[in-house]
Amino acid sequence: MWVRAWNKFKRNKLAVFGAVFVTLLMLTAFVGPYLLPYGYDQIDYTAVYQGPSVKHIFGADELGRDLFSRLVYSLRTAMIVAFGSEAITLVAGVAIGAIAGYIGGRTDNLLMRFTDIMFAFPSFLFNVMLIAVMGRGLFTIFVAIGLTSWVGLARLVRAEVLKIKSREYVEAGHAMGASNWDIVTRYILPNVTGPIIVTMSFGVPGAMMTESALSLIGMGVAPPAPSFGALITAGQRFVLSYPHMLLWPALVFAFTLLSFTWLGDGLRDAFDPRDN
Amino acid sequence: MLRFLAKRLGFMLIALIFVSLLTFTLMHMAPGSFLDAKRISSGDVSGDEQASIDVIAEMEKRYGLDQPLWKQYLMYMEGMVAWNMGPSFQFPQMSIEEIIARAFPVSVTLAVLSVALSVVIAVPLGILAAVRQNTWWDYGAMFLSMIGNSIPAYVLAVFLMLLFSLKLHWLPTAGWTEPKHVIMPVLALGLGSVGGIARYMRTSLVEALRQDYIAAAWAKGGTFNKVVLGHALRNSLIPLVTVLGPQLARLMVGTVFIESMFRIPGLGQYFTLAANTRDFPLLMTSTVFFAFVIMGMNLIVDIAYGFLDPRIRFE
Amino acid sequence: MTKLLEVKDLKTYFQRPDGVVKAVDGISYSLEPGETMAIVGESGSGKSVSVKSLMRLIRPPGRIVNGQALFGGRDLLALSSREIQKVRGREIGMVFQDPMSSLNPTLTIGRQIMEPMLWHGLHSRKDARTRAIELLELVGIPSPEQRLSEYPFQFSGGMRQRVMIAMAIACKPKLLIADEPTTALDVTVQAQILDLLRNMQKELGMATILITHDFGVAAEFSQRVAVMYAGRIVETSPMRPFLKQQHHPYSSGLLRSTPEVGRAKTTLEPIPGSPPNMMDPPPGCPFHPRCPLADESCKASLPPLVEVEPERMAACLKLNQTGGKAHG
Repeated sequence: MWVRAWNKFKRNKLAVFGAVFVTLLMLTAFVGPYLLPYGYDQIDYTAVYQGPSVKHIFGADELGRDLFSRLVYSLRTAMIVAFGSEAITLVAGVAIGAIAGYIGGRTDNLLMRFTDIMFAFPSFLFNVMLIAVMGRGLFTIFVAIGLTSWVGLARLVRAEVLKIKSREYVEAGHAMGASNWDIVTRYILPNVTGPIIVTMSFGVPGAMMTESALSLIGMGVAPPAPSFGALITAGQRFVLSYPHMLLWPALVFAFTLLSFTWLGDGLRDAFDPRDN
Repeated sequence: MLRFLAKRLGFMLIALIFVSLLTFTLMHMAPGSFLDAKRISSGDVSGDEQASIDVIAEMEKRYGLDQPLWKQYLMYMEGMVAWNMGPSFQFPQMSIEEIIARAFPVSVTLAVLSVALSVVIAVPLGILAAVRQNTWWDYGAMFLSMIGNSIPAYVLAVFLMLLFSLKLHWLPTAGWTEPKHVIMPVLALGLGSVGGIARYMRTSLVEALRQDYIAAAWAKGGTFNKVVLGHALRNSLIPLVTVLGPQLARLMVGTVFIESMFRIPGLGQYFTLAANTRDFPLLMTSTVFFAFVIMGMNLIVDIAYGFLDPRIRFE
Repeated sequence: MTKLLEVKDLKTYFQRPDGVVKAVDGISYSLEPGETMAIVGESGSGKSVSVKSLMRLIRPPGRIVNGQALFGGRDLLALSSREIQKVRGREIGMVFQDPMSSLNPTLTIGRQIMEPMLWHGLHSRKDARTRAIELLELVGIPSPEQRLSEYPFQFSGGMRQRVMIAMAIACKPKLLIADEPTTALDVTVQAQILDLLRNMQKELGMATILITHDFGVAAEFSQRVAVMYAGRIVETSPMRPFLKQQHHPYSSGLLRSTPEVGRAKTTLEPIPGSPPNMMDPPPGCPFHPRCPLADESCKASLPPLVEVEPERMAACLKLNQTGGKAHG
């Protein structure tokens, strides 16, 4: 499966682009901050509202803070939130889906009704409520996003588990005396890895969008820490006089999201079992 | 059909009770309260202790905060059902139902116009992509749809603003008083959904075109219009109704950001304000109301689907 | 007598990512007005593609690469899409294999029967409705007026095939193509549909091409038979002498594997092996790997279709050996 998926992935140009850019963006987000000449909150009154220059390649904001530095830190925020929340999603989604699918019966019924309700209720509203209650902060944000985004994954894992559970080799495993834990971890989970990876790869840009949407409405990370949403809100106030403050955050954010989408599309096609 | 309806209504009711309970519980777990926030912001911390305690007691009474929790929940639910929810924290002079009655139509206008716009663009685009499969039309439409799917409405709004307000000076950047104000928010919200709908339209039409009854219709001597538009499109539009539900939900949530960006006095704006100021009565009500609207729309969409497909209608 | 249809060297190929499938590879035959012919072959032999090519219903990646199909003096394969539209349903009617999926599930039966008449401008809406009721009655559907406003899912499989037949003959075509019209139906219904087709054919005097894999159906229905194998016609003959004696070893094999045709047979003999891989057919005669008579010469060259007796043709290098009664 892995070799075939890799071969298919390699041939998809957009996906390879996506993978390369995602790698670069991750490097920028996690290594970049140590190489930057300015901190994200370093104020330089001589550079207030300055457009792009040699000193500040993307310009500076209303307090003279370097926009490029702030973008790098925004990227970092977005990545931390995305990966943190995806980790929670992964654990919750796989656990709930696997338990529901594997045990079945009343447990399944109960868990799936709960999932249905979570699915019907717009998760963004739930996020806002959770943050209103827990307070703003990097940690609360990714916990809130993680707690609301496992539904799709749980459904997927449950469906796959149900499908695989009835296959012969699983029954053979049962017959040979394997424990439930063995069956789930050794037979079932390896078979759902592909779909899980695909779902997760779309989850990352999704979580980034939620994170920046939260800061857009003032529920994201607290200032002066930057986030794409906060930068866009700030930039928008000065759009007619200092458009660089709006243009760069929007461009970088859009490009980040697109890179992840290309990667996700490529992974989806690569793991698609329907065609060879 | 009736049984289906009863089942769906039952589910919706349970889901709403669940949402309201969850909201209520969360609000009461919150460490700080609106009253704290208000006291701090008004510089009342160091003021007359007794006076502020009195004020708080008075306010607690007014908002029913001195009652036991279960009673508070029941009062709150009763108020919702009776459409009499009392004043908000942030706007003591206005009742919550007044706020909703004023703001909701604004949000609905925004959402409905956006859906209409996206359908009007997406359906022909999807048809074109399906009929001209694997041509530049197809690739172009699918590329646009990928962009629309992966970039949120508020980022799209930024680019629209830069184009229409900064470059062309055609449209104002914010407000909601004249028709001009409607254009950009609707474009930003609507264009984001074009991709999803167009892609669905394409898949569904390609699927329909592969059916045996399409070959049979060609064999009867149908022209392109009769076969592709009369038979295939008709059948692929029926399942399209089902994506409108999720798209509407997505748009309703999207109004929250768009209203915040363009300073539109819709429900989303109040929701944002309530969240930022810990105005819990308003936050709870608007959350449950949003959930109600979104679930209600999904239900309507499902019923519409049932009416459009004779196989379901007759069951 | 002038021919109604004359097919010459028809080739329809499918371009697959890993090669070309020659689904129909140079077939020729002709049909006289009012004549009934059966095209018989295993699945994948190209019989269905050959008639869909006549109607120009081949969709990409399929393509008609060569040939002529003269129908009433015009070449069907050379007509513009507008002109072929006027032929479809008007001069050539078609009945499909699966009545469950060949009717549009969201339109009423009445509308679907009226469509060919309205599309070809033969009747006004009102007349078309009257005629649709007549047609439903003709194909044996009880209380037709009421059933006109019903949907396909309210009809059984046999009833739907009757509706399909009504649709195909609505414009009184000169040629009816029935593509495995009974395959998808219950055995008990199959005979009724076949009877109906035969009655309609006689009543309207249409020439008919019946596509089937079942010699029983073919023998009962048609005056002439063409046997297809791997995209080619390997034998054509009037039906009656053919049933007594076949010239091509494939024909005899196929006949022997079909229950009770003509006379009672006690044992069925399946043809050994399986149909060829159309992506990579065997060299020479494509039947040689399964043929009891094959030798080295059969691998070397493709046998041409030659006249063996008047009106009878076969494509086999071992014709002298198949001529006897041995394979009858």
